[in-house]
Amino acid sequence: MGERGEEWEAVMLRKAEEEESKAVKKVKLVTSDGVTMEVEISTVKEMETIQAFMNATDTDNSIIFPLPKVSSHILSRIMELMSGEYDQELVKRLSHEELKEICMVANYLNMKTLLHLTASAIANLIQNKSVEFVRHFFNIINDFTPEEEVQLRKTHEWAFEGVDED
Amino acid sequence: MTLSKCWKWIVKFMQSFHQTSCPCASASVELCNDALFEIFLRLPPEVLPRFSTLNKQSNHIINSPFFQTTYWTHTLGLPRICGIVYFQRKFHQLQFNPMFDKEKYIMIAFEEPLQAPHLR
Repeated sequence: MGERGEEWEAVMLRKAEEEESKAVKKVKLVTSDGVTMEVEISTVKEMETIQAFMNATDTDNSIIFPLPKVSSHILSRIMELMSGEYDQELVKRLSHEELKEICMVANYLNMKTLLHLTASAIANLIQNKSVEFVRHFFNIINDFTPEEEVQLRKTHEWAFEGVDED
Repeated sequence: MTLSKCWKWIVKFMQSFHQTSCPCASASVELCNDALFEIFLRLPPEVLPRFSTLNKQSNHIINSPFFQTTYWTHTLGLPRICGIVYFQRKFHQLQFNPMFDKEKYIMIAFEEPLQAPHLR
C-alpha cells in the first residue's frame, strides 16, 4: 500500500512538472519584417542556435529572440513543416524560392532534420540540370574567365553529358 | 587558480592538437556553415565535376579535402583512409604518410630494425 502511494505521488509530481514547464516557457521570435511569433519551447529545441543561446543565458519566462535573416512567411512555413513532422509531400509543395530560403534558415538555425530534408530536396532538383540553370537557381555569378571555364569543362567532359532540358 | 587555468589551456591545446593531427577524429559537417556545402554533399558523385564549374567558390568547396573526406565517409559511407604505412628498407624504419595533410607527416623510427623475416 505504501509503495503504491509513493508511486502515485511520483506520477503526480511528474505531471505537475510537465504542466509547469508547458505553461511557463514560451519563446518569442521576432522576424526580419517585425512580426513577433510566440513559439513553444519544445519546437525551439530543434533550433540549436537558439537552444545554445538559451543554455548560455538563464532561461526566463519570456525570451525574445531576434531573427534578422528570417522573414515571417518563411518562419511560418518552417512551423508548418515541423508540425507536419517533416512530411516529404509538404516539401514538394514548396516553391523553389521558399525551398532555398528554408535551407538557408535551417543552416543558420542549425536544424539538422530540416537541413537534411531541404538540402536533399534541392539536390534532387538540380542534379540533372545544366550549369546555367543551377547558376540561375542559386543566383550565382560566374567568376571564371572564359578560358578557365573551357579548361575545367574539358577536364571533365563526360560530366556535362546527359543533362535535362530546362 | 592559475594552475586550474593552465590546466584548462593544456586540455584545450591537447584537444585541438588531437583533432588536427589525428585524421581519424570524426569531422562534423556543421563545422562548415555553408548551405551549398550541405547540398553538394547530397548530390550523386557523377555530377559533382559539373557543379564545380559553377563559380570559384563552388569549385573551392568541392575540391577541398574537408568536403572530399566528408563526402567519402558520410554520403558514400566508406571507411576513411587515414594514410599509408610503409617500411623504408634503406633506413630500417616505418613511415606513415597521412592522406589529408601532405605537409605534416609522422615518422616512426625504430632503433632496432623490424624483426620481420622477409625483410632480412
